[in-house]
Amino acid sequence: MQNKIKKLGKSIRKNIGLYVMLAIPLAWYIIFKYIPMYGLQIAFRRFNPTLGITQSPWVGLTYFKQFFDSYYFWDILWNTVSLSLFTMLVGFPMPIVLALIINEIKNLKFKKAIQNITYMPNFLSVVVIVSMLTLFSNRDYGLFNKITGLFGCAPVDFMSKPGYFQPLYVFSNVWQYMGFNAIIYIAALSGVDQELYEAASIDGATRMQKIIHISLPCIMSTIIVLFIMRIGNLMSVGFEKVYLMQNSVTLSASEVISTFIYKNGIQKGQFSYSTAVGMFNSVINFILLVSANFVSKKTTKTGLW
Amino acid sequence: MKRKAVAIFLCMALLAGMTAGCANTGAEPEKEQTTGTENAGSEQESSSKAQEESGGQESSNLNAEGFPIVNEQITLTVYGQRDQNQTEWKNMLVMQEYEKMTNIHMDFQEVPADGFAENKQLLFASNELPDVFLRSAINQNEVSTYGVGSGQLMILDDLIEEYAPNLKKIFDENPAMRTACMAADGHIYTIPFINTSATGKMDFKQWINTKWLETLGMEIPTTVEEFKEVLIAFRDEDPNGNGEKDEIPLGIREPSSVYALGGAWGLGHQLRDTYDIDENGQIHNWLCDDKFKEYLIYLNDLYQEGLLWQEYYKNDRPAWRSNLSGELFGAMYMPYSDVFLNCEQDYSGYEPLIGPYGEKFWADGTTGVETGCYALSNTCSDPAAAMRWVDYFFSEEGGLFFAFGIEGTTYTMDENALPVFNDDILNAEEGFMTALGKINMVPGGGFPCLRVDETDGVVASQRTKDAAAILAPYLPEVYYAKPAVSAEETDRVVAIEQDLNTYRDEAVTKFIIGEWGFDKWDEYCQTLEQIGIRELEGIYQNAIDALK
Amino acid sequence: MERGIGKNIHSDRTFDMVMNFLGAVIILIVLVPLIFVLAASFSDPDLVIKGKVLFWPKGFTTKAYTLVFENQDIWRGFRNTCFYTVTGTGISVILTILAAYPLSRRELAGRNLLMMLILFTMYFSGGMIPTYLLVKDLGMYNSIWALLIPAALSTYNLIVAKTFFENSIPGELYESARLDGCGNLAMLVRIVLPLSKAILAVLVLYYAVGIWNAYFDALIYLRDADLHPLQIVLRNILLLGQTEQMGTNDVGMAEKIKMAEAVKYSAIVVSSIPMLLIYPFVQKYFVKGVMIGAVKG
Repeated sequence: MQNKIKKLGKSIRKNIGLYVMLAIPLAWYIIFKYIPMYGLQIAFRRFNPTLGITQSPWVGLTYFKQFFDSYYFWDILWNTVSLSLFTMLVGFPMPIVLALIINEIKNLKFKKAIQNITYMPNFLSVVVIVSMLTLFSNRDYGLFNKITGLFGCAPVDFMSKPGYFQPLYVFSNVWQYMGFNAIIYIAALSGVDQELYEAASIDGATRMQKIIHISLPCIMSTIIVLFIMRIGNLMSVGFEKVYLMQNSVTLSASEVISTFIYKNGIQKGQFSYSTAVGMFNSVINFILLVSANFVSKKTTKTGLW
Repeated sequence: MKRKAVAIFLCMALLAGMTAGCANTGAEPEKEQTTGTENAGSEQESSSKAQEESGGQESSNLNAEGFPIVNEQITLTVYGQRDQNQTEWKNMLVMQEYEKMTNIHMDFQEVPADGFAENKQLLFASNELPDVFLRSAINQNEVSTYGVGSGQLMILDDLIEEYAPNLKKIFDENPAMRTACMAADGHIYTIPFINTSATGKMDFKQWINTKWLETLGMEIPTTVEEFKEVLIAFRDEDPNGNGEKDEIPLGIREPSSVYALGGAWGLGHQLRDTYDIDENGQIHNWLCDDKFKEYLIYLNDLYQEGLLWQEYYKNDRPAWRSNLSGELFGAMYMPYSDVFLNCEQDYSGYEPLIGPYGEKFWADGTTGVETGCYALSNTCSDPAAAMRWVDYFFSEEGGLFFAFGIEGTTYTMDENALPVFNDDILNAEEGFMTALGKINMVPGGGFPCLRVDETDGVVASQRTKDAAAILAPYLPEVYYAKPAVSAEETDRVVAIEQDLNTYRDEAVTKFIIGEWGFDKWDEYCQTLEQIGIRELEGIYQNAIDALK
Repeated sequence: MERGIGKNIHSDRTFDMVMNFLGAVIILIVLVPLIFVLAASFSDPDLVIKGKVLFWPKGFTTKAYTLVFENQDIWRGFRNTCFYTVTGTGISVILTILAAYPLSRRELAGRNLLMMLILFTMYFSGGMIPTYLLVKDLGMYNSIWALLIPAALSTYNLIVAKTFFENSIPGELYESARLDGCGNLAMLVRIVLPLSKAILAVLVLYYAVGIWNAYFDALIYLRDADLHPLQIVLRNILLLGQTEQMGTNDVGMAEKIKMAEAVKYSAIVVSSIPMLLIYPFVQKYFVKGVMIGAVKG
């Protein structure tokens, strides 16, 4: 034990420069991430600004109960989970597929072109994306209706039909991030040993077989790591985009936890209530993350930690 | 390995808690001291004490009446919301002029309308308050939370008594207006905008396209059945004569305006919401009533027939406006006619329609009081001067000054002794409202002042005044504003109303556009009960009873 | 065997065709909306509203652009955003490197614990009020620092950078440098950074795009419209019809909306171009840089 401590002390002294460097970002983490955490306690207090966070009266789980009792609790929970699952189901595999396609294309110029063009939407802001969706959904002159019109469909204002909210959200997400998210997989694929493919060719494997038996397994660990991180965010749907896409007509399908918190907490000043809801959200995310990592470690020996 | 990971996370959570403990013991107390915990507990005494103190200190500097308000210039910090049409407040003609008159320098720290709601809540949460809140749209729930609850807003009763003779006079003459401004504890925390003009007695006025009626040789409808016939004619007989069936017979603007016609079914609009109040002061939310169901059936019929604007429920104001400027609406509901732009002369007001039970009633009344326009924080450096500053705008002279600016410079009096803006403002290239926004805060509204018939012309055209005059006799005799409730009950009210309004908007829309059949009515009523419609009713009932 | 190869060559050709076809479809899907926006921005707004514009400008006009460039708010927002992006990216990249490099060194005692502490913040935060109070107490409210400092570090980017250092800087390099008497800082500057252009490119791009497109912090921390970034101005113009504005009544809104309709498409183009332009400069290093997990496991 003493030896250990001595060793530790020695190693710290040896790398003192590293600790000095680390001090600045660590201070940032403590100041901007850890110190504000004391504020979480207002979830259990009736926040009164003149009394301050620590002196406000303790109300226990009142605000959690209020949320669970709320008529919309199950709707909001379901919207959040289903939107997130839908996004994951479509949004997660698409970059992988894209990366595999790009990897298989022989013409170098074409390959470059696809890569560069599919990155582009990533640089557009949420505000821009949502306003594009609104413009495209317009019944009279929107792009979507011009396209569906080619197939003889009646014009629909997609932004104001609850049923279209999730598909619009999910597919515009795919459109925007597919190319950019594929970069990671393209990088991983470029690291695959070419000899494996050659050996497979000699064994008479088709291209498809090579994809399934060589390419995919080689990027599997990347896929799993990203997947676990994704699971840990299952309950957090990007707030800004949903909020900007919402309108009163689609609310039944589009109200999610993050927008609910925003409207109640920040716009109506129900800070205690919204902190409670937010805490509920974080805890579930965290449990999901830990369990996903656990399962993954058990089954594939790959994990975040 | 996994267990270790979990353990580490648990440790971190604990650590976080510990650092938290340290952090707040270090940081919190000073904040409380600076912002005055003494006010929180017994806000009533302490704020009146503050008044006395400041009154004592300023007595040499403050003039009890007339201008300047203070002899030596003082500065007050002002927080508020700037409308898009308004120029920076410090550059506003009326504000600059008023500073010269009063010797009070207002240090305006206004926030753009976008993001204002967030910003205001955080301002209160951080408890670093300005002296004055101006155009901050402080609603009743916020009065309960930040006034009655946390004592961050100052009680103004005594200040009004002493330093606001004009406002006091209005309150004395109209006790209902005073009550409308009261919080749950019976005190006044915010100064309102008061509109005693004829057009201000109601919000929506109803309009019908008389040019179309003339073309079709029809009369202005008097009953809801006739109304439907007229709408059908608008739909089928091409009244605008362009050969296309592009007319939209009934142009309801958005889901929240579908109640405008409800008066014909006897559906009141008390508390500016879906409430009736009987002569005993008993309130009732009629969302589950049969008469409301019948009203919805009528609207559903209009919708299915293609008489009601098919896209009304999308909240798409640009589309609504473009239809309006194309003069495609046969009938509609609007507070003011200034948005009619090019076709104002074709529309006129008419009497309320007679409903199926023979009722002739225009429900959309207002108290003429818009609360929450002006408030003082408990840290206000000179409450007396701040109160005198705002009171001038409640005199007729001050109201005129606010709305129209300086005689000769921005307006002149016409032959009827009514103020008229100069031509360069009325026909400004940048638009009238933008030009007006350089003079005062009328564009966007919500400024604490008095508007009377004489100054109403700043926003209301002659047509609007006529339309209002026609409806005025059919307004409810007494009109109640939404009462303030106690801080504890505010939590409940906000929670219930959040769910209730979301559900109501969704359900009403679905009934009207036919997505739900009326066999769902019982289920709809049950859901409303479940959400707590009766509990809410009870809370408001108690609050109203307490005001008496 | 022979037959097998022949069949494979045949099916390979089909396979190539399928892949090229899929590639073309993807390009089309991505490009169509972008081209539409571009075409619409150069068209007569009336024709756009009537649905006459598809992939080529109709009634070619640059009036919408003139309007955008005449709009003082947009210019001011543009200037502010440029400033925030350049300074903010600089601060963020430096902080990230300062954290990622030590954490990538295996000899750093306690690095797993530190990493856990950092990861933890991805899931739990104190929420808005405490953070807001903190920003106010630090005197950053309504100053440019409110946008630059509190959101300076992204844990995700930190992990990317750390993984890169771990995987692409061989441990022997540190050893030999140490034998040459090199300190840790000198190692970072003289050895690690020159080998890490790829990750610098990635960080610059990630942070720059993030800051360019952010609007939420500005909404909360900046009271002064003179400090507002472009995205806030854009939000006002583009989504005016949607966002309910409290306490704003109808009076005078008609004029604003008319103007907004005319410039929507051109505003989108103008605000997006700068970010599309920086990509080619860092693209060379890019794929190399994003290696998170790629070699891990």
